[in-house]
Amino acid sequence: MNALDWVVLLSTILGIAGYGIWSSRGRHSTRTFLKGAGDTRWFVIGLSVMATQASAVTFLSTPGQGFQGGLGFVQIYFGMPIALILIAIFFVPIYRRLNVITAYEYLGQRFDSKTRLLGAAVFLLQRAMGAGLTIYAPAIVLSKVLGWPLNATILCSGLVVIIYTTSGGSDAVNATQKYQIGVIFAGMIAAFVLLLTKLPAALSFADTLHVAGGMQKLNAVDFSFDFGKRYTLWSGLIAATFHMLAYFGTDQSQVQRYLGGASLRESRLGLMFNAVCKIPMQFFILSLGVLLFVFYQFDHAPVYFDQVTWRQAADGPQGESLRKIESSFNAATAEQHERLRTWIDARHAGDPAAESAAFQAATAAHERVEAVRKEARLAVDPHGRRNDIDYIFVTFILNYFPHGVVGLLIASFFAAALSAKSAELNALGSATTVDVYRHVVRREATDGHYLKASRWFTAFWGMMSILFAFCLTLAENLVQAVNIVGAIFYPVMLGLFITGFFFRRIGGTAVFCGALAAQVLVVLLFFTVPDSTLSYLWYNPIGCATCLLVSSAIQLALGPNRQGGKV
Amino acid sequence: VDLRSIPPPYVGSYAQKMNLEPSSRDEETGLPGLRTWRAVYVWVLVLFAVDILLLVALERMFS
Repeated sequence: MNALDWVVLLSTILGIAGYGIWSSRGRHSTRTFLKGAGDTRWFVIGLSVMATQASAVTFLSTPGQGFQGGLGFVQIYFGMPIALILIAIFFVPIYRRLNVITAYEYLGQRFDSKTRLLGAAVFLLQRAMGAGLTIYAPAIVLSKVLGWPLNATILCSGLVVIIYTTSGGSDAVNATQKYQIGVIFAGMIAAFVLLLTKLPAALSFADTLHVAGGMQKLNAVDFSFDFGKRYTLWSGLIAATFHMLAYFGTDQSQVQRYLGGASLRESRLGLMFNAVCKIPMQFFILSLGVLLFVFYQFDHAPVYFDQVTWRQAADGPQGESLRKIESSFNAATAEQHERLRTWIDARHAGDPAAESAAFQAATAAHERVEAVRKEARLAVDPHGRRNDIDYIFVTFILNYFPHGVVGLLIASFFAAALSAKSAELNALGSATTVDVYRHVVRREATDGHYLKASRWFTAFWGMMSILFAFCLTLAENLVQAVNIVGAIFYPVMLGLFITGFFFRRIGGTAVFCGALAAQVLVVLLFFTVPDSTLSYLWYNPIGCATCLLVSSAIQLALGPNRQGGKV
Repeated sequence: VDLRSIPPPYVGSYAQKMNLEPSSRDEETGLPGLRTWRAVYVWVLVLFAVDILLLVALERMFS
């Protein structure tokens, strides 16, 4: 990065943060601080919901997913349109009519105090972990490739977001998110266009798609029904629908975004905006990874994209074996370039027999390259837990993009991190103030007291997430790690709300015990059943169903629910 | 699916004290050509189906 990149990065990030503080000045009540002034339009809600979900992980890691696994990851978003429609029909009207600040207030009104606290506690636990991950994930990648100190990167980005979220609350989050998502899209579009210009001149756009398709990178929809496969049409339509229902319907960081809408209409339209746009958006980001894959079929790729780790390992005792792997990788990629060019020439010549033979040879050469790459990964980490795919996109940006654009893209990553983190801190502060402090610790106090408490709790969670990020080490691919953390806790949250909405005979004690049983089962599944047997997305329907079944059984044993029976 | 046939979710006695009827402004979608929420949801589902079909077509054309 040079001076121009720094100017672009700092002016973008600090400018948006400053605007957030300025635009939300004068929020002097607890309700407006936590929920906003209640005048947000659907487009801002839509962008805010999108920005909250799409953290830096999305933009750093998803192109790597596209590079490695092709478009298949898009299937996790197949549950989103269905889930958002169900939320618009059932969840949003209830939240708005009850005029709640947090989703967990509903649990208190429908069930009892302990169920409300359970919902809030599960949210605080999983979101605090998520907030640490949100800030750690981009910092670990960017600090390594840019040579910045990791803890200083975490601390600086964490402090910026704490300052404007603590100062302006929910409105500052919404105001900054719309500009942050603008910066993100500007960066992604610039990357897409520049990437197209970097492809070999002899390669037409149709050739590019044929190379990607031939190497299975355009396989977006998997119709097989296999619980061990993470991303299939069915896991997307069934399991991911539960996952998205829980995330958008019960996670306060999202609920808070659409509850700030000027009306039910604005909230619903904001959700429908995401129901329509999210799949094309993820397709676009994954396509960046697929284009990167094609680019590296004709250009020299590193054998291991996390070059800092590779060089450190190469300087160690296993340096000789790593250099051998690197040299066989160079030979394999040179052969692959040759085979691919022969295949493209055969396609242009219109000779099907030659094209088929050349394609077979190119596929075989590609498999040899992948085998050496796998050998390199195992050489760096014999347990196979380390992954270099999060470094693919950022390595490409730093090596091939002009100055200024590099600054814009690094700003995009930080904008995404800050937008997601600010929503998380805002939600954590709200749930702590409303569901714990005001509900349990101090029931009667002035509005000014609760406003001050909200700011302190927001800052507290910000500092906690920074401390958590300091302690993290991560092996999973980043974007998947975020989803896995959610899948462990979301089933219980969703079980609580679905029981509340649709099973009127079940009372607070029964659902409380059912939720605890479901949480134990999901944790057991996570630690005992391998991912290749049961993919994490399936925890969502299993945990939710367990919560319902155990709650029903306990309620039967306890007798009729008096509170529910009256209504 | 007739959305009107789905029973209203249970919101507890607290909520029943409140005005549960949405305002007429909330019932309007304000979208040209999509006057009811049911039409909006059907349109979103149609677009979703088109997304899947296009993804399958992309795969079939270039694999």
